[in-house]
Amino acid sequence: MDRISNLPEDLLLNILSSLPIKDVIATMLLSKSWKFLWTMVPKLDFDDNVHQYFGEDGVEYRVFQEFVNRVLVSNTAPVLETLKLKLGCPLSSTDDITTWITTAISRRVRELEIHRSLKGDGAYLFKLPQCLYTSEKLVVLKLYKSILLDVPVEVSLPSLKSLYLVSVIYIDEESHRRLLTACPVLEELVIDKSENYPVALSLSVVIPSLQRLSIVDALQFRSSVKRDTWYENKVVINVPSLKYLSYVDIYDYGHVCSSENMPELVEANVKLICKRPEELMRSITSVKCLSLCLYGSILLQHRIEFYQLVHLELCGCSPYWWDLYTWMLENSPKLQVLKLNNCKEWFNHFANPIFGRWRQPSSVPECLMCHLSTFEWKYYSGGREAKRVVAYILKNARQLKTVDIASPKLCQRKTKTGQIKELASLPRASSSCQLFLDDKRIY
Amino acid sequence: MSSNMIMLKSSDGASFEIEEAAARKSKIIANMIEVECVDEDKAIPLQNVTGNILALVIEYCNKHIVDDDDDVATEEASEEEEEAKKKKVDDWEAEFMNSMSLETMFELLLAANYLNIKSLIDLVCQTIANNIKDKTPEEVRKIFSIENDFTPEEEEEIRKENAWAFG
Repeated sequence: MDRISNLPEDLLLNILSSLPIKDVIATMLLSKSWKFLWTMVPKLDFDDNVHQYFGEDGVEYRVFQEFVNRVLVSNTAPVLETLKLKLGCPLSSTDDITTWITTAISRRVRELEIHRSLKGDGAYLFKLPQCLYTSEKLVVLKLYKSILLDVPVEVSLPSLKSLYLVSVIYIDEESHRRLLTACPVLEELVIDKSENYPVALSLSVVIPSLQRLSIVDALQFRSSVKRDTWYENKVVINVPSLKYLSYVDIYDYGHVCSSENMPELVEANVKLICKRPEELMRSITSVKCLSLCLYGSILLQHRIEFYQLVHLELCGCSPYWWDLYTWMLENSPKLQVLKLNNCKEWFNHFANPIFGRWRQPSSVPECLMCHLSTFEWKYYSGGREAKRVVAYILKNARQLKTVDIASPKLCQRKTKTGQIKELASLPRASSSCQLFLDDKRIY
Repeated sequence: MSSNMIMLKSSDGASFEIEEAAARKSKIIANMIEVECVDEDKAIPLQNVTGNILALVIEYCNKHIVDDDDDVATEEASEEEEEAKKKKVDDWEAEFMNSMSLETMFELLLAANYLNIKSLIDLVCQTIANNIKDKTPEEVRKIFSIENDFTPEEEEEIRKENAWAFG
């Protein structure tokens, strides 16, 4: 029995919406009841890299061009929900993109996503049509790579809630600033500068409605470059409604971040090479869940209380991470979960062994006396100072339930049994604590 | 979490007990609970869903209760753990869908639609779409028993008119 053709139309369109466009179009041949269904699909996703479909040949781009034109013109969905364009062919031009975006905007498109994957040569840069910058209906705008943003003075995006600017190029800083100030209801902003040229770009994010913010400057090849590059970019962050922050800048050591308090903040991922991280740290004290890697931690002297922090992941790849570790212990009275990890952004996945003598907190921190239940340390090196860090936790954390320590082969200096014996024999304040070493339960 | 149990009754008279939190995945049932037309000891009758399909719906809902707990603060969920959790759910969903025939899939889709469970609707639609992907119209017709009511001439005409679409 033909069950599929008898489904309600909205379900059929849902099915078609999750298919590649060429499969959607081909359904017109199934039977009479399917003949026009494809024209009503509200989500359109084009990719000019379908070689098996359009051929390797440059000439075939015209087939793709015609294809997109026809599908867009034929579409009769009451609202065009989504248009995605992935364009890597050198032949595709600003003219094409202008036609397609203009059509989509006139169809009151809600979500627009454009990937321009060609790199380098400015001749291939796409400029976006001006009508895009004044769309009243656009809710989501995602732009990737070789797209040139030339934002007009009269820019206004009253419905825009989500904006992704990933390695796009700005004609000037003013364009960038204008765009960010034209979105009164923006909730999510992603700015990835990892592949931008030139690198220097000062940034001002002053958006009262923003809830999620992600700022990234972390191109892989750059991480092999010396970590003290100075561009002196100025970053201003004023986002009082923010709930989630991801701020990764592992490139520009000289950059200066000035930020205002974020009282609603719940989760933050902060990885910075930064001269003065203190102001940023002061603005995120409401955070409950924090992942932290700081290359300026040596400068954190004053107390800044993270009065709501319950979950902390601290990276062991930054120099003097152990000072930051002590500082965080002293400043996080509610901490329940503490993890020492290594961050993914770096090539070298090795924790820096502690050199010198680890400075333990001057008095037992409140979190150890009352809250800390989980302590996890990957890349445990087994050295004397590292052992002191573990010993201090075991001895003082009264509510401790789980201690999980892993020592990858690279870091092993002593035999495993020796290490186990050492850690297992350490005195502990919590009698109900379980110790796991390399996932094996010791007690 | 308090585990309030409620009863659901299928069109063929089978009764199922389900946690309220799981049942709330269905917007229809959630609405019924909101406006208090649910008696403590009376089962909610679901006229359009048979027992074997309702059992699948309940299995799905039970698996997805945690989804609604978004509070990061109480959970010690790092990104890694979240990813691991998501993968587990994805694997479960794949296995769940894999275990049923197309026929059952359509029944489940209609039930999910009637009960208004968005994530289940999307899951089944995606699975049905996977059966269409990369297939010729002939193959798709065969899989879904769609009768080709075009004459060969009509079909040729469509292909010709839409040559742009068939490369």
